[in-house]
Amino acid sequence: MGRGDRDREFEEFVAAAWPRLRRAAYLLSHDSHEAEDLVQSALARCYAGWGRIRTESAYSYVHRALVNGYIDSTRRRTPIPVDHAAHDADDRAAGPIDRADQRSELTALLAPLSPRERSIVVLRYYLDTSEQEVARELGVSVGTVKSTASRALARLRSAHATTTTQEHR
Amino acid sequence: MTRTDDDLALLVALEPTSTRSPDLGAIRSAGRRLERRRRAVHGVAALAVVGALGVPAALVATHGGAGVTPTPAPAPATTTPSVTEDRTAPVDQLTDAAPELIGRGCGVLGCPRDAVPETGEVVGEPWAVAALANGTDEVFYAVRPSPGSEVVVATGFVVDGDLQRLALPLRPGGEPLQLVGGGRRQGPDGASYSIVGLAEDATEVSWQSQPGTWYGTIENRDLVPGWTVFHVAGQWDASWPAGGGALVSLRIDGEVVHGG
Repeated sequence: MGRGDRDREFEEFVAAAWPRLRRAAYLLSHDSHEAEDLVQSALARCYAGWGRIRTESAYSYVHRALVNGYIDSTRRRTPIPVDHAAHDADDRAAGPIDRADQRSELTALLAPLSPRERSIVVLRYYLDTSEQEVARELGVSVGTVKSTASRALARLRSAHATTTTQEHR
Repeated sequence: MTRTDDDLALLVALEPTSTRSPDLGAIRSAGRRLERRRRAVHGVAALAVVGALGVPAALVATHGGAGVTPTPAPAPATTTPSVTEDRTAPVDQLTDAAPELIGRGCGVLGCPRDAVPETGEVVGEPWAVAALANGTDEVFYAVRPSPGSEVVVATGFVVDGDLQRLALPLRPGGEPLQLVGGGRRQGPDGASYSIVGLAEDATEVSWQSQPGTWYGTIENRDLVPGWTVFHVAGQWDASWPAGGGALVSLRIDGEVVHGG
């Protein structure tokens, strides 16, 4: 395959994969700039191996590269507690790149989770990866994949219940 | 579908997707840099040097290639190691494959009696890769051998809570792919080999000693940020030349960088 054909094929893949991939990166990192870096880095790896990564396996490859990149990035920095008030203040002061990333119910659900737990939920539900594949990619059991998702949702329900109770007072 | 699945699926359906455009030029440019670096890695792998492992070490040979003759294996002692973290699963199909255990009294990478007390500055926590029956852990760890020196990756043992250094085989910041070991070790349960390696910025390192299934290595990305430390161990194949290295192929991020 010539460079031109290869680039065209890769561009088509990026165009199709980008919107969800970029959002997945944000769901993992909760940071616009880091999400940008993560997804660009995962796609660059994909481009470097495009000759051998056929289009049909490219999604799985790039998802794995994204999650591994995220987990590695969390190991290289000091954890910072999630502070929604501070985040909101940052958002107001931030440029256009941040405004495009909106918080959502899923973002809130993922916020208290560990990097590995976030990765499990994002891979399994947002990127539609099978439980077996998530378990294999992250080196955990299928049971851990299931229980992590259940725990995450239980937290969300608990948060909803608290909010509802407070609103009724 | 369980209730969890349904609830999360609903959240995903409500989730917005990104509306920004990718910077294709930057992606391609970074990808080409990565390609060039991988080609360099490929070249380095063919020229991999024998490191200072305190165990018989030979250049890892390629299929059909020849390794450096290892020194004689030390006599084994009396206990059997068990692998404490087994991530050796086929890359393409998950099975319960586990590396064959080797030797008695010695670990996967060497023997405690060959180790000396660690006097350098240990950085972070050691990574235990095997446990001997007497309670000794076999470990990789990051260390500054002397004040102000570069961090290197060492192999060793934790004996009664004390860290003992076996060797300093791997140097982050050096060649992007470093491979050490691969020589034949004779133990009471048969001959075996082990290989330790370091790969810069690798997402996936896998290996095979027979054509067919690729196996994920036992690996760690925590010891030195940006570098993947890995090791491979197994029974020596009787068909391999006794004086050479193990005929093992390595693949990094889907690309065969050694053997084939």
